[in-house]
Amino acid sequence: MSSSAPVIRKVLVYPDPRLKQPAAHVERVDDTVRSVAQDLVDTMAAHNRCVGIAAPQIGVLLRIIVVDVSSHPKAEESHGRLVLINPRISDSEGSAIGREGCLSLPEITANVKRAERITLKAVCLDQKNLDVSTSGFEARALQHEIDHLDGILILDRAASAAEIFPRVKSTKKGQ
Amino acid sequence: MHELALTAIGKDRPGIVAGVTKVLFELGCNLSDCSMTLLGGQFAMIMLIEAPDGLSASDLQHSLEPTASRMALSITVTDATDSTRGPEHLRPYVISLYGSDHPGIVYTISNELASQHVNITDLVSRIAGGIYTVMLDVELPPGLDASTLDARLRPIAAEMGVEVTLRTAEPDEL
Repeated sequence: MSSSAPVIRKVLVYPDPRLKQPAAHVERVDDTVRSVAQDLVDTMAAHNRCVGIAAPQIGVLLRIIVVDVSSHPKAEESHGRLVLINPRISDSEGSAIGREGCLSLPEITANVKRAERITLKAVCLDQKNLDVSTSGFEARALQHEIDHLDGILILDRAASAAEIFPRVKSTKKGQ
Repeated sequence: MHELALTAIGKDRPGIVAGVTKVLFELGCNLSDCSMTLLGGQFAMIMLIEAPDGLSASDLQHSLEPTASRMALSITVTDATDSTRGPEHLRPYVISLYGSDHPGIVYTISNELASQHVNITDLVSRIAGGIYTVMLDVELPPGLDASTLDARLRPIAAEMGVEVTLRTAEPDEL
């Protein structure tokens, strides 16, 4: 990746309509795609405890995600920093419920059911095909980011409204 | 035994459940279905009770008055005979809705569901960060396709600027 000054892009917040739109397949890895990927890496690094980001979150409707759970305490398995183009889950098994937050829903967390183990296929920045098999928290982060490419947010996945929680105490009633 | 329905609501504090169920226990009542939850700062209880013959709704209401007064609860007891459901509750679906909060979201959607004879069996909503989320458990009547209902809900939700999804609530087979 380039060593130029980091570009921190503004992260879109729901109800921005771009977060609900499907992102387009990347036809070839060109300078635009490499630049978006670098912005995703830099933007993710600028957010404390952030383990993943998807291109639609910075307003780019292309199928590019970045996930890095390597420094997160919940991660038992990690492939380090994954910059994935056109990621597609080819196999999944098991399911587990976990609490997720999202930069695009900054005041909400939700309990979401995800597959426990996944295998995905993607293209890397060097245009090589990559297969990733992983489990647990890294699998959860990847599923969350791939959902963004289809306009799916954690609010679409929560099993019930009782599984959605305000991140900060509601100020609606002056509490 | 006969069935009574009790609803109670009041400012939350420890001891509400114990205070109400103590009276029920001492009068020989048995709890059946209950739902109790905290809404903002208000604790709300809804329960079906098997009451001994001879204990009427107004008797129970009267017996609960000291507790209601001590705990600042508003309590209502009514007859609930025929509260068991028939076997016809088939085709369960979950509708989820979310978007920027504004008045009329639940009314607009539930009005459309009523016009399609869709029965709502559970509704929970939460407000967080200005985003209002509603989840409804519903039952589709015979003759109404999920895809038809989905096609009717989408433009109504879009008009209100909220997202809607309809999915089956059939349980996972494990």
